[in-house]
Amino acid sequence: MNLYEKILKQKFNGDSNIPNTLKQNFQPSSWKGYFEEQRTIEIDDPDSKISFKVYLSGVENNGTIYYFHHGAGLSALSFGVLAKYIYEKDKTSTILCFDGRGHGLTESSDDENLSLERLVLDAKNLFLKLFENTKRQIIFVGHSMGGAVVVNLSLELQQTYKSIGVAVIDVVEETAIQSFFHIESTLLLRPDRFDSLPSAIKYSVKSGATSNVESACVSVPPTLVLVKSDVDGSVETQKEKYVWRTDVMKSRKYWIGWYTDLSKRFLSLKTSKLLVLAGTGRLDKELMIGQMQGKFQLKLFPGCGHNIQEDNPSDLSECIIEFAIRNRPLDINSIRHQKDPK
Amino acid sequence: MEVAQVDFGLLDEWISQLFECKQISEANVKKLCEKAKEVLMLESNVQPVKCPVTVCGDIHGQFHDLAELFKIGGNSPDTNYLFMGDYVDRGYYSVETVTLLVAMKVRYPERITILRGNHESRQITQVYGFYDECLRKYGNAEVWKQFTDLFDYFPLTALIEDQIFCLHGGLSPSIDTLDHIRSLDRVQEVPHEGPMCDLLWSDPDDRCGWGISPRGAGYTFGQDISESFNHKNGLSLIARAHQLVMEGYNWCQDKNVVTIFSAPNYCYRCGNQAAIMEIDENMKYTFLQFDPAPRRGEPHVSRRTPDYFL
Repeated sequence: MNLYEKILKQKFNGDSNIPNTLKQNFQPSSWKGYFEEQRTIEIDDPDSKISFKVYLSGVENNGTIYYFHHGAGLSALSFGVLAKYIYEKDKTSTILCFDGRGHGLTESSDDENLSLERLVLDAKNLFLKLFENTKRQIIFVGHSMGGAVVVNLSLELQQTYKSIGVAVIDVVEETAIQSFFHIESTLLLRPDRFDSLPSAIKYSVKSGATSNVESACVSVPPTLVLVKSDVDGSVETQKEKYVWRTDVMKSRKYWIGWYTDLSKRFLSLKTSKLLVLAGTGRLDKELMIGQMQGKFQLKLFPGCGHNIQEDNPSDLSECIIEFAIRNRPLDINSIRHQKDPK
Repeated sequence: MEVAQVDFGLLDEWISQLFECKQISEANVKKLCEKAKEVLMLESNVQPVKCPVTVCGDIHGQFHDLAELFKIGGNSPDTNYLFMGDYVDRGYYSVETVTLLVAMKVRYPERITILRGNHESRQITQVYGFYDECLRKYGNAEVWKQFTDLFDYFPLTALIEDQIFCLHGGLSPSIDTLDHIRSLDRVQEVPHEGPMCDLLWSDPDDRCGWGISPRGAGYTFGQDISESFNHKNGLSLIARAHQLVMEGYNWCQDKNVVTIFSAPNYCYRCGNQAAIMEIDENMKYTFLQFDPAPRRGEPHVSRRTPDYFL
């Protein structure tokens, strides 16, 4: 057994499906297996033109709207497998994932402005363009940086839309800010180019960014772009390579703004709230008190890494759907005198 | 009530060992849990309790603070105790804490009452620490299995002198009377929904009526609900735990409900006081607040920086 297999084996606790995943070639898979359609939606913002790449399922439906925002350096398709599972289990829902500014296939006149205010405004503009007059239940799901975006977006929208739920995946103010140094070294240490998409997907799995090969095959490709590299300036030695779509380090000055006051803002939301974490050690004091006072729902996925939606999309889809169902308007008569389920 | 062949000498030995925060052997845990099961299965879902008694809230494995609680409240069996659940998870000494309380229960069954909290469950303890602690301290999951099987027998609620109703969480929209609680079949894992789940998960709220609980289990109930429950059942007060309150205790709903939380500086970071409620022979209550016990040799609170990205 080589080192790579050993690491995988440890990671999966000797799970029996390891040999199968090892046989896979880490071939990129298309969004088509995970969403019904892909659209390009332009927003005419006076400050910054932007053309969003949006992935949708159940556009004609009138049940719950699940609206997703990915983390920094990722893309809409980080939610691909999760979105597919949610749509399979909640057939009347509408699913929307989009590539944020400076990410994936979204194009804008100002790709480098990743300030919290800008990202929230982007997410709001896109939401209003599609759902402005909706009376439906809306579940905002944000991962990491996207968690900060959906919390602040919901603070703005909660007066207008009465049935909002906010699900934040693996981000806590204090622990996120404490880990900036660690994030910087992670960024420095990761390769800056790949010869092929399969090698990038393989790296993502090997490095532990995503332990689920199916997720990696759909989530990794849009985080990279193909460029021609001139090895020594002559046409003959021109070679294709893949580099990161988003230079996350360039957004360094915005990081602190994403997370400052996030715990306070999350707790102050009048909406229903779900916090999904990979480990309980990540709660800061403010959220620990809030949790012990019963102010939000906490769900832990101890076996997962930071990209919970990619590592365990199946269990997370159930968790998010249960959260949505539970927080629909209460019919107390149906509950009275119920018996314990056996 | 007589429990067959309880060796008091052995129990006393275990209790004094546990008071030094030293775990007892796996084989002894097994013996203890067997005895405890015999004791607890005789108790009612609404276990009657006499005053004087001292009522305590969440402990969560904070063993040294439990020792402090006994210093402040008085030693068992000189002081009668009623604990309202959540002995395990989050703190570093869930094993010693729950073993001690169960040993005391077996030794002095009439002097101490231990109710079930929402953390006394197989599912919750696998995520919040007790399971991992058992593995770490015993090298296998047997002790965890013994205790979680025993938790199924813990009574759900207690009733002090027919007046003060004590439980971990709160009321349930599917329960109107104490008799309804008495009729529940409690010997099972805490369900995800339904009356038994609600008793261990619900919280009082400033809004009237029933509400969806933000916790994801149980309900919130308003003052109108607690008033009418107390009136219908001839109660003067609902005493419950489950929520961290910064002063250790907190009156709400026009003194129909009191919350008691007995884990100071919860999880070694929340900065809260703890409290217990003494009820004397005339049913008068006094609250005793306390701060974290001084700690020696306790693992330093060092949190690993998580492998976050952005």
